[in-house]
Amino acid sequence: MHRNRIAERTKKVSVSRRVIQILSTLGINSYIPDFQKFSIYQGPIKGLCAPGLNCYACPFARTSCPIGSLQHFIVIRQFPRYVLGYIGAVGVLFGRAFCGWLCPFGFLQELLKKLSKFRVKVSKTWGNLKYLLLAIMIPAVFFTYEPLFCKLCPAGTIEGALPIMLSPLWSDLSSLISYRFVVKILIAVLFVVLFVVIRRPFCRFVCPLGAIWGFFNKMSVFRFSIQSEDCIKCDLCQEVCPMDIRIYEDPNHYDCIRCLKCVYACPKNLIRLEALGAPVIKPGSSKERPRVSPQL
Amino acid sequence: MKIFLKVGTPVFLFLFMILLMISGLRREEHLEVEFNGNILCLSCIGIE
Repeated sequence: MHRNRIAERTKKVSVSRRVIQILSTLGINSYIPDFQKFSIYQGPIKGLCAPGLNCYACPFARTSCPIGSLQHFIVIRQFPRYVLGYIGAVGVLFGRAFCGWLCPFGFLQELLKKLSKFRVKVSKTWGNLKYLLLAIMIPAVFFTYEPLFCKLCPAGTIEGALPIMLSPLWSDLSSLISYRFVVKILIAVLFVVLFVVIRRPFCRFVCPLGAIWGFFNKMSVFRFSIQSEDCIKCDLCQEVCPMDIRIYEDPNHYDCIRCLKCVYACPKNLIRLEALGAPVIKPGSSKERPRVSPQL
Repeated sequence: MKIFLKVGTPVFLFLFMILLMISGLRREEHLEVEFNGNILCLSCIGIE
């Protein structure tokens, strides 16, 4: 009963977010390759970083992966001012909002989660894994001269390797296959299974880009605030949250992707989105959303 | 003081990041990103 009620309250924001996610995914991956010859997009837009994790080995990708570009600059021993400035500027403005609204890989995870209602709860401790990966794998590129994260990243396998495997180019590349390709395929298969049973597992436990943007959540221009003294701890916010966060414990949690579902799901209308302290989305201020008591 | 930190920190950081990005653009780093992106990344697709 209460599930329908929450769905009704969050419908507007969920639909808006889904439309933006679709437009972003199609926009970033709007290149139509010539499958007879096979080519990836090689134009000036490739100089821009994608607003999320989107592999540049994907034949449809028009933009570059920020994490792949960051690793490339470490390999060529050049301080990545442009890439770090881009990641930082987005982080300072929106925190992790790009993960929730624009990232194609996050969108894919949400779509696959819809295949099953079965849900596995995972310990929050696993969330620290992404910081460990960020702290070890990205700096290690300096010593190995290889994009280490790309070698394991399931986004590369799903967005890059799979379409290429279906193309004529694969007959030339298949002779280069080694155990690493098998490992990468196994990692991707594991993640696809996890996507179906866990909410956004890659974003929560692995994504280094999300880890960087998450650091900015507490100091970004757009932040959440909550009147925690009136909170009845009904956990509806956690139930609708794609990142499985209890927003009342920390309104600007490192993992919060600002999807705004909790803002609309809160039965007491206690959560609000602010820009530099001024309310942007104030719950209960609209005639469409009168204050209601929770009926659980 | 609290308001100053709440408003000042993101504004200062945003300006810093924009300046960092512009200095990168002036050094034509976007061309390096483009160059790297134009080559099919074999690591990404799991091939050595």
